[in-house]
Amino acid sequence: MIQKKICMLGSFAVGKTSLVRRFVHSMFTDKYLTTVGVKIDNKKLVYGDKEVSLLLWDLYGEDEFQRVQTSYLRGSSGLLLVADGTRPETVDKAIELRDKTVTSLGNIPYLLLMNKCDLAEQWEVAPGRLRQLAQSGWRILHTSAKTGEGVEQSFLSITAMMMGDATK
Amino acid sequence: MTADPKDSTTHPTSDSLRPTTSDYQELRSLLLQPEHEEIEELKRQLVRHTDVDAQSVAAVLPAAVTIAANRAEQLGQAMGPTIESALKLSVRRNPEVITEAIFPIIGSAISRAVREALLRLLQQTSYALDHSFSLRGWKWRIEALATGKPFSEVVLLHSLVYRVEQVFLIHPESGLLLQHVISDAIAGSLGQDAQDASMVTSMLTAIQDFVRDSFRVESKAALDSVEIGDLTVWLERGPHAVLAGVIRGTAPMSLRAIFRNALELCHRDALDKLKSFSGDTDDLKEIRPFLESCLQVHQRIEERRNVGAWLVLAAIVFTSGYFVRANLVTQRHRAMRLAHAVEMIQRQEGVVLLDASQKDGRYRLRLLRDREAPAEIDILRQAGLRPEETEASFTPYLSTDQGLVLRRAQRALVPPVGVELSYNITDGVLSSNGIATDEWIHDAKMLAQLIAGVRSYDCQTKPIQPPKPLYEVLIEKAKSIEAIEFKFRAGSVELTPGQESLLVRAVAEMKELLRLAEADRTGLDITIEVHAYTDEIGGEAYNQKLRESRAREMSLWLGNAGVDTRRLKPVVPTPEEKTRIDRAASFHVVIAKGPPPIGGVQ
Repeated sequence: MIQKKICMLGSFAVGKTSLVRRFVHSMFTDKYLTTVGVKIDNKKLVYGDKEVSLLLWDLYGEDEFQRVQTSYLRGSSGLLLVADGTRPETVDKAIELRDKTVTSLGNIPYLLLMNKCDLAEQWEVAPGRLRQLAQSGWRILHTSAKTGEGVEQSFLSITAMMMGDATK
Repeated sequence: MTADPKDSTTHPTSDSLRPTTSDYQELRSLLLQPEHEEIEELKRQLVRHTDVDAQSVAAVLPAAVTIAANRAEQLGQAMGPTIESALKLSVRRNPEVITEAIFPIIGSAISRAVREALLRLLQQTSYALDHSFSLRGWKWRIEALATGKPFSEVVLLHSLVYRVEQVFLIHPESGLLLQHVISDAIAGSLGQDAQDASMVTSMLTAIQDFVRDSFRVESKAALDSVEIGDLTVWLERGPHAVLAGVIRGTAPMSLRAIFRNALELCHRDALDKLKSFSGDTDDLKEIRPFLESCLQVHQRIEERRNVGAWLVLAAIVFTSGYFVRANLVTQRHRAMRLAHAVEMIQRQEGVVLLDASQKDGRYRLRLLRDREAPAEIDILRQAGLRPEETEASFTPYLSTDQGLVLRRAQRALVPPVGVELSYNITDGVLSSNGIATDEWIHDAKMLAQLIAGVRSYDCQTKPIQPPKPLYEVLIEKAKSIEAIEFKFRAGSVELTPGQESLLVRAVAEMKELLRLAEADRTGLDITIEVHAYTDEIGGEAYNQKLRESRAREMSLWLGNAGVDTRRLKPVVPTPEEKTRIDRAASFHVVIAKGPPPIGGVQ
C-alpha cells in the first residue's frame, strides 16, 4: 500500500472541509480544526494496480488572524489549494500559499480547486485571471462541495500527479 | 704548418665520416621530437599534478564522500578506526574541544537518563509504600527474601499490569504510517478501525507539531508520552522513524528500553528504505518482527491464578507430606517404644510375655505373672508404657526363677534375724544358714518341702543355746577360782618366782565372780576363803603359824590388787583338817543364800 500526504490549503471559508467531507467519511470531528488547526482524514483508492491511501490534512483556513502552521506541511506529497470563486482575494491567497510551500517543500504537485462552482453566477473571479494562471503552469479544477461536482476528479487528479511524480 | 687533426672541416678523414654523438642526438630529435615533447609535457603535468593534488582532492572530497556514503557502510567501516583514533588523540590533547562540541546534547541526554531513572525510582517507591503494610505486602516481602530481589522491585513486578496493544512506526516528517502491529488480544476488537492507523499516526504527528509550535520549544524537542485514561502512548524518536507504543495499564520504565532497542534495529536493517521512504509500506515489512517484540504483555490475573494453583498444589503436597511424615515418625516411635517395652518385660523375673502388638496408637500385651513379681502397673511403667494406652491381660503362674523361688521361700518360712536363705536354681536346693530356735528349725524343715520350685532343703542353721542360770555361772567361776594354787618358798610367805600371771588371773576371776554376784538380785552372798598349807618340815606349831601367815599375806595381797577384802577370808585349817602337805595356798568359794553351797575345800 502506498500512502501520500496531501495538504488542503486556502483562505478561511473557501470550503476545504466541505470538500473533504464530500470525499471521505471522516473519523475525526471538525473540532480539531479550531483547536489543533488541522483535521486529518484518510481516503483509500486504487490507482492502476496499486492501493493508495491518501492522508488529507485539512489545514485551518488562513486569514488575517491565523496563519497556517508550516510544520504541518512537512512531508506532503501534494497540495490542494482551494479558492472561492465568489471571493477573488482567495485566489490571491492560494497563489501566496503556493509560493510559501515552495520554499519549505520544493516543487511538489498541486491543484487549484475553484470551489462553489454551483454559484457560478455569483463568481467574481475573472475568467482571464484563471486562464493566465493556467498558462503559467497551474492546473485548475472547478468543484462544488454542495453538489459534489469535480470533487472525486480533483482527488484522483492530484493522486495521478503524485504517483507520476513518484515514478519519475 | 701543422694540420690540426681535429679540424674535420679542412681535413676530412675517414674518422670524420663516422657519426658523432651530436649527430645521433640531432637525428633522434628529428625523428622523435613530437613524442619527446609529449613526454616532457607529461612530466611537467606530473610535477604540476603533485603540487595541485591537495587542492584537486579538496574540491572533489565532499562529493566523493557523499557518493561513498551511499555505498552501504564501506566508507564508515574504512574511516571508523581513523576517526576513533583521531577522537582519542583529540580528547587527550585538548578535551575542551570535544566538551564544547557535545555540550549542547550531553545535557539533554543526561537529564533524560536521570529523568527516566528518577521516574523508575518514584514508581518503585510509590508502589512499595502503597503495599508495605497490606497482607499481600507481607507475602511479597517473603518473596523478596526468598528471591533476593529488593522489596520495591517485587512490588512493582506484582503491581504492574500492562499490555502493549499497538505499535506504530511513523515517518517523522509526513506522519505517514511506516508499519503497524497490533496485539492479538485486541486485533478482533479493533476491527475496521485498525485500518485507520495511518490517520492516527498523522494526527499524532500533527498534535506533536501543534504542541511544539504552541509552546515554542526547540525544534528537536518532542512529546515523549501521551496519556489518556488507562492508555499511554510512549514515543521513541529515531533519525528516520518514530516508534509509538500504545500501552494499556502501567508499564515499567524498562519497557522504554525495549522500544528503543526495536527502533534501533529498524534503523539498522532498513536505514536506506527509511531514508528514502516515498509512501510504500510494503518495502518495510521486514522490520515487523522488531515491532512485534514490543507487544509486551504482563497479566497479573493469569499469573496470580497460576500462582494460586501452585500454592494450593504445594499446600496439598506439603500437608500430605507432613502427615505422611508425621505418621511415619509416629509409627516408628511407637514401634521403638514397643520394642523397648518387650525388652524391659523380658528382663523382669516372674513375668512371661506371650504376645505384644500395637494398633491405632494402643499397645496390647498378654502376659503370665507370678504373684511374687512386681505389681501389674509397675511392670507396665517399668516397661515405659502408660496404663491408659495399654491393654494388658495378666495370667497367674508359678515362676521357677531363682529370685522368685527365694522370695517365695522367704514369704513362707519367714526366717528370723540371723538366718539367711539361699536357693540354687541348678539343683533346686533351698539352704538356710545361721542360728535359730529349735522350733523355727523344725518348722522350716517341714515347710521347705512344700515351697514350689524347691526340690530339697538343706538346713545349715544351728539352734540357739538357752542362757545358763546365774547360779551355774557362779559355780563355774567358783570352780575355776578354786583350781588356782600358789607356791611359797620353804618356810616363807613369799611366793616362788614365775607366778605373776597366775596372780593376775586370780584377781580377774575373783572380781568377775563378785561382779556377777552383785548383779544378781536374789541376794547371793559370796565368800572367798583363802587356805594355806605347809610341808612337814619344822614343828607343827611352827607350821601352824606359817599357815596362818601365808593365808593372811595372800588375802592382803589380793585385797591390795583390787579384790573386795570383805569377801576374802583367810582360813587356817586345824591339824585335824589338814589333809595336804604342801607349801601352797588355794581358795574355796562359799555361795550363801541361794541354793545350798557346794563343796568344801579340795
